[in-house]
Amino acid sequence: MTVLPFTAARRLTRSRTRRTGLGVSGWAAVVVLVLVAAAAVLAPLIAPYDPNTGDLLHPYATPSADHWLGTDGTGRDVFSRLVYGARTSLLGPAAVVLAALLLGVPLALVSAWRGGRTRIVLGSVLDVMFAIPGLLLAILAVAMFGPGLGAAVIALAIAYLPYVARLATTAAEGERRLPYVQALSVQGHGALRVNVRHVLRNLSPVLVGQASVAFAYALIDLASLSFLGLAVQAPQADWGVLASDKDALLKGHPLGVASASVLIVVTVLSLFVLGSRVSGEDRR
Amino acid sequence: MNDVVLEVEHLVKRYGDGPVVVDDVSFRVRRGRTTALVGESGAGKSTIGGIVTGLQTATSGRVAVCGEDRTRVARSARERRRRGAQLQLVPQDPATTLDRSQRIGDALAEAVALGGTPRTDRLPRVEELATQVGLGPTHLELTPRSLSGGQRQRVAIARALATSPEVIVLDEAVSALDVSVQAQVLNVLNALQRDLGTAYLFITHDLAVVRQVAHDVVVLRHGRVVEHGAVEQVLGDPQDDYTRLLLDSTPRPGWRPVALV
Repeated sequence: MTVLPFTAARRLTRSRTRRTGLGVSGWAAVVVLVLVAAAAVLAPLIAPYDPNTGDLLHPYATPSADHWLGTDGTGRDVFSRLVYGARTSLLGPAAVVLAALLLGVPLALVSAWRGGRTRIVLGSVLDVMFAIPGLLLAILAVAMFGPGLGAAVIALAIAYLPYVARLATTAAEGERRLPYVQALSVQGHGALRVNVRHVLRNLSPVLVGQASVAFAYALIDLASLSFLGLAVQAPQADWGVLASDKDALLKGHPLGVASASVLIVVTVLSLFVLGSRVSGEDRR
Repeated sequence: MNDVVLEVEHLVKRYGDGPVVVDDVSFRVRRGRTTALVGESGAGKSTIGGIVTGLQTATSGRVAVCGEDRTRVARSARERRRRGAQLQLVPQDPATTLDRSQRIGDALAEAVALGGTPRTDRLPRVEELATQVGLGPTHLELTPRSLSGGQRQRVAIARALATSPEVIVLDEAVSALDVSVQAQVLNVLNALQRDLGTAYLFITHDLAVVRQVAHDVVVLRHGRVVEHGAVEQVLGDPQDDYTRLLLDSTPRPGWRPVALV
């Protein structure tokens, strides 16, 4: 397709986007998430210690210049474990959301485009999937394939699929009825092009909003599974594993548990705020 | 009858076991002429438009564009494109007639590309289309949100013209516009028809618009044709009571509402 040159008019469009953009809370959420993501990516540069190597002579050390958040029961640096923990804590939910989107959005587009029996059949399949609780499915998957992030991610992706697909179907059906879609069809464009180039692009704010909310829930669910010892396994650093350090709590050293819990809460809140801002939910 | 570009014969549409919404409708649209489909809401105008454009299927009857039968759904991409090159649609609502996230220039370029125009010739063709409907190069850089309702309908007309179709279906295309903008868009349509010879199937409930643009008129009531002929004849000397009622219900100085029964 011909690419037309940028002009002042495009700058005008962009400035309007900015005016109706994320807002202060949205940008604050972006800053938090960028910091968390940067910590995950740059963990070897940021973390002062190996997250899995402990100093048995200094268990439960109090915060100091050497150990900013102290050490855990085996003398491992809590700050380093939190920084490295961001990796699995973000990677797991990202994999869950990506898989749910990759399966759910095409299903939604097909259902909305074809309508009729296709919609009824796909809708019924989703209804059945809705009836299965995600955590129960994950526990079942872990029982079958053994504990670990992989089984938990696959199970949660299946559990999240109907939520993503149902929302995307509703949005796609609304878009499908718009006259521009009819005009494009009459013009001679095929269903694939209309859906990918037009419908999907216009659904992207809704999908991004939904993805960020699903990411937040997946983070909580995976942290819960790690807490139960079913997903990420100790000694691997993970926020859920860190938040489930019962020994530290019983021995009066709650800083590591509290820090991991605060990180989970702040990240989830940021995702909720960003999701609602991107999808425009809180501006309606 | 080589100048017939759209032929509708004994068209019937029924949704499931419900009532018949289009009942044995037949009419023809000739090259370079405008045929108006008029009638009150629910008369079946837009259903006929939907069937003619291929967005809906008929229960029975035949639709032919440029002599080619369109009763069945297009089976291949080539057939879809060929149909698009013969007949185009301008929808009603200016707010949703264009993809809101696509720049005008890109929307026109996409339509031009569909017509098989070589890549190097697309930009000049896009600018030519914009000029034909009274838009400038600046408009090509904007998204629909930055345009007025009249400008959006002009873009929709330009997009429809991109494949040089023989006939354009205008489904209440000016009904949502205010009177002055409506007149501008109708003038654009008249000029394009004069220059290009494009035929229009004008679906509307506005008889004032029909007088201004149409050569022939088909009056529909409850899905049936009650009167059909040249505009001067049908609107000047209506033979059917319903047509007279429609004319009497058109607001004018000293007008009092007339109930359609």
